[in-house]
Amino acid sequence: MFNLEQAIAAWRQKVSDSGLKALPLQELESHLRDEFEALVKTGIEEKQAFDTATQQIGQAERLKREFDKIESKTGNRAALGITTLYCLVAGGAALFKLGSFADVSSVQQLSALAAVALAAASIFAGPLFAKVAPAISNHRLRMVIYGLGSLCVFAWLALFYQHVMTRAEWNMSQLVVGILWAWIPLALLCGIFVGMEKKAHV
Amino acid sequence: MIRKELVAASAEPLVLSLLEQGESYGYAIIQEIKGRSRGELQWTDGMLYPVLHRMERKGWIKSRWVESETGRKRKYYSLKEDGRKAHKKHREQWLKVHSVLAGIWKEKYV
Repeated sequence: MFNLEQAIAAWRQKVSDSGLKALPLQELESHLRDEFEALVKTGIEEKQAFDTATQQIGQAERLKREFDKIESKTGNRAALGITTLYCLVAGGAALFKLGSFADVSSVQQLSALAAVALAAASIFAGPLFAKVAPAISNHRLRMVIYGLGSLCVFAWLALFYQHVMTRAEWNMSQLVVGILWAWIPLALLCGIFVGMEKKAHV
Repeated sequence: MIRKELVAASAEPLVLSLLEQGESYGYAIIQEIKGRSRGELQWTDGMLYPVLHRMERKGWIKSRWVESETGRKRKYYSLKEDGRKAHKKHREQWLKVHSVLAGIWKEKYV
C-alpha cells in the first residue's frame, strides 16, 4: 500500500543525503504534492504518480547546479571571499610579520593566531546559524537587519579607533593583536548574513 | 517543441508577464505556461525554481508563504516595482525582435 507521507519523507531524506542542503526543499515538496494530486486525478495509480512527479521535478544534482549559479552571483560569496581574504592577510601578518617584531611575545603571537582562527570560525558558522535561526523571507526586513548590523559593527570599529587605538600606549605588536581582535565582529556579521540568506531561500 | 536555448531565454519574460497579472506559485506558473503554449514550451518542473529565486535576488519579485484552507503551504510570488520595470524592458526587446523577424519574413514570403 502506497503511503504518500512516507514516500515524501524518503524523497527528502534522499536529497538531504546527497548533501544538497541549499535546495528549497519545502517549496519543491509543495510542488511535488501539487503534481502528485494532479496526476492521481487523471486516474494514474498513486505509486506511479509519485515516481512521475519526482522525475518531472528533476535530478537533485542538476537542481543544485542551477541554485549554485544563483549563489555565485550574490553578495554571499563576495562577503565570504572578502572576509576569507582578510583572514589570510591577517593570518599571514600574524605568522610572519609579527614574528619579526623585536618586542613581540609568544603570548601575543598566540593571541593573534587565536583572533584569526576565531574570525575564520565566525564566518563559517553561517550555515550553523542558518539551522537554528528563524527564516526571514521578507527581503526588505533582511536588508534592514543587515543595515543595522553593519552600522553596529562600524560603530564598534569607530569606538575602537577613537577610544583604544588613539589612547592606548601600545607598541606595534600589541596594536596588531588589538586590531585582529577588533575585526572579529565583522567576520561574525558576514557569517550571520550568509546564514540568514541561505535560510531565507530554503 | 521549442529549442531549450529559447525556452531558457524566455523564462524570465514569461514569469514576469504572468506575475504582472497577479501573484502566483511555481506549480501554477508551470501549468499556465504549458497550457498557453499547448505543451510546446517544456520546462523541467524543478528548473523554474532557480529562475524564481534568481529573480527574487535581483529584487524583481517577492515571495510569501500562504497556507490554504486544507493546511497546504504554497510560496506565492508577486512583482515588485523593479520587476515591473524589468518586465517593460523585456517586453520592448522581445517586441523589437519580433518586429524585425516579422519584417524579414514578410519581405520573403509576401
